[in-house]
Amino acid sequence: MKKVAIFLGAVAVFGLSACNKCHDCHYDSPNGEVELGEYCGDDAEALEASGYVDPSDTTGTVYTVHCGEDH
Amino acid sequence: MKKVFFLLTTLVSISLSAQQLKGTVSDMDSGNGIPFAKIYCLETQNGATADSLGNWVLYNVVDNQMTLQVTAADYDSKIINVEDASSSISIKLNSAHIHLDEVIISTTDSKLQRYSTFPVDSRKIADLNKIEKTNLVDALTNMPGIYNQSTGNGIAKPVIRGLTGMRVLTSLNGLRIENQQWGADHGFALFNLGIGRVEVIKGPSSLIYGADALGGVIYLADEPYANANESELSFGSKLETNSMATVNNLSYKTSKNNLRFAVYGGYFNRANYRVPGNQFVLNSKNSGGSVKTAIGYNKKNWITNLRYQMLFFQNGLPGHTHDANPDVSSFLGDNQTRNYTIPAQIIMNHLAQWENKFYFKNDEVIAQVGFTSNDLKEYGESLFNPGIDMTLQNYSYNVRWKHQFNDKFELVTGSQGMFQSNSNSLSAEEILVRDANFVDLGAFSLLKGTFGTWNVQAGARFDQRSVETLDTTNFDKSFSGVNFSAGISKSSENFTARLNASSGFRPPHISELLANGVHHATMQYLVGDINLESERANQIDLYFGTHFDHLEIVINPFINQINNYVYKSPTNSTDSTSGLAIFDIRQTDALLSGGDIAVHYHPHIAHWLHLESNFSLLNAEDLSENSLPFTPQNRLNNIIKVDFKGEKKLKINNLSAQYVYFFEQNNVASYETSSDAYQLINLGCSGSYTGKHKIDFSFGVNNLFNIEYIDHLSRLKPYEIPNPGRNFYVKINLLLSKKKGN
Repeated sequence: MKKVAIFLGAVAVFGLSACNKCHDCHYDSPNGEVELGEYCGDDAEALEASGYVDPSDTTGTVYTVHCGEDH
Repeated sequence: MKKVFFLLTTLVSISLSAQQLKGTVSDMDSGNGIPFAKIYCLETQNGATADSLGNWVLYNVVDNQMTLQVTAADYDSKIINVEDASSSISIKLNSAHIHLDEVIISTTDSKLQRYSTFPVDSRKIADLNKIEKTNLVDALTNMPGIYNQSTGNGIAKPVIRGLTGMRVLTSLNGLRIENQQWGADHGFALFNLGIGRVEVIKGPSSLIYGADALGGVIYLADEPYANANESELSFGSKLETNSMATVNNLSYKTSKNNLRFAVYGGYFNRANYRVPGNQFVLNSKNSGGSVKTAIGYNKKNWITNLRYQMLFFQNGLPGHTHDANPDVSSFLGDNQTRNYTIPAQIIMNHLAQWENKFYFKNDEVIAQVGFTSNDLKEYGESLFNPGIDMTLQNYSYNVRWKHQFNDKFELVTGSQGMFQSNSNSLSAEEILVRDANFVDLGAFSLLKGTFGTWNVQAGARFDQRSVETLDTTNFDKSFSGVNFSAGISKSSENFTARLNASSGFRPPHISELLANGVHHATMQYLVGDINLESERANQIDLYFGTHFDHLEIVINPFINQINNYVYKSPTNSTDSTSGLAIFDIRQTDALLSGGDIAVHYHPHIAHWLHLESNFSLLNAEDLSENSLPFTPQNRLNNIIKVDFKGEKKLKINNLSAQYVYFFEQNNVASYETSSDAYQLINLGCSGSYTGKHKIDFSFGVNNLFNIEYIDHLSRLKPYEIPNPGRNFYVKINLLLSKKKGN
């Protein structure tokens, strides 16, 4: 029974450690998809909510940011 | 205090130990005892195993009525009704080489399949997984006429004779499961954890199950409790190479006198699946977990069971891209990932049921109350704000009274009802199904007769469903239905014939009545119709079966007419905001026809060899002869199985080879494309090792030749995303401890 408990504990630790709160973010520009890198937690939520303005883009376009999509 | 407890325990033990049923199981011809025959009580859901001489003792007895299922390797199964538990019972079994018969309980019958007057097919889950399948619905597709409407390997919906979704009702131990099943991407609510057997009623089954059981019923029954006064702890694990899947479960079952307990825990995790060409389908990953428990108790003529299960699913939704001109490469990647990405579904289900059964001399009363909760969140474009967030709660009851008039006639009368509520979270971006309440009430009576080898039944039912929205739409409407079922069967030693006629009805769902918006998961803009009427189905089902020692042949044609069949019709216009195609919800009359042919050959000169083959045929069209969408491909399914016998510690029990041919599908709806024929070869091997712990193991491969194919029912077909490629698997089940008492 003790061995079973240790095994279950190991499975739980392994399962919980697989939880990752960081995500790759990108936006779709007229020239294709632009990667913004990895954002975590509140930073990712804020970026998704506010959108992204490319500093080199003089038009000031606010692009919709997509975080956590599979590539 | 200690003495009082000791005295009470002793008294209880004495009174309980008196409740024993004893007997022998022996060969009909030789009279020799059959070693290790299994005796299983349908009422208490536990049983006993005979000793090496065929003697058995059942320590847990129910007053007035007990139904025993007796099974043994190389013998025909038998159902025994025990009325006098005080005398020893002698059971004689006929030797048999072919076993296709399982007990049926979903139709109130408690009979072997061959004696049922309903079109029902019963199988053990383990038998469907001789070659291990990825998910539970995949395993069900080994049954004739059953298909899988899939979205990758994580989302699977059972299809019975071409019908699925709201037209198929799922029942777990009699508890009706509700999980927004109207959505094509809303998969099966359960996975294979502690489920022992499945019964599929093919065709309208509203007589017993009420509204929505228009296409059929998937009835799942839990594994039996541990044998009386035994306990067992086991661990199972499965690995699959295609999606690098791990599936693990742990279970503990114990039974002491009249008290039974079982608890299960399970978890699975699959990365993106691999297609031929060594690419991976983006965001097809999925994972889930479940905890499940059951407590059973019986005293005198009363049996009670309390069951609870929590299930969690996290399903990636493949087929998503921002590419301006997408092709199949937009949905495939070079790396296999399993981290959480969107679009995704996050689902939490709670299932609870309390069941009470009372047995009298000529009467049986079953009362069940249940609760299910389905919380569905779909994340589409945003990682943090769900596009859809709905909670569907369902309170249900089921009361049934069975009265035996004499040895020929019995009457079953019952009533079912439910109160269901759907509510949307304020945080959700979309409201796909409005906040609404549903109330179902129904009652039925069924008269059954047995005259020698003849069985007959006829019954009728009335149902009413009220639907009321809780928002500004002020929709409030009632739908009613009168349904019937009648059947006759004749079953002799070598021949079974059955004729069954039955009806079913399904009131339109509010997703069909009031839809007016985008469903991202299906990438469609749907427009409902507030004037839709109930679908009504009438099916005639014929069954002819021959059962010889070495050959069984079954022919099972059917015809099912559905009036007011609800379908999605393309409007050839697109929604300007979403850019998605607009579909109207419409009705027409439809005709589904087809059948199954099954052959099981077991050569006399090679008793270790089984050749099983079944062919499923279906044609589905409206009365203008336009094909209905999502009509399954006709299928030929062949399995060769070789059994081995031996007494060694390490032994191979059987080898299986499966060849499945799916015929091309050219009968398609106006907005579908045809599907090519394809063929798959699957192999499996199972065995066991008996040492300090007993280990059952199996390994094998599905899609051996890594064939690239797209099934007609795959929801990823419009994106040209193939089904999974070659998939090796290894599975072990370890019996960690087994204790026997007396």
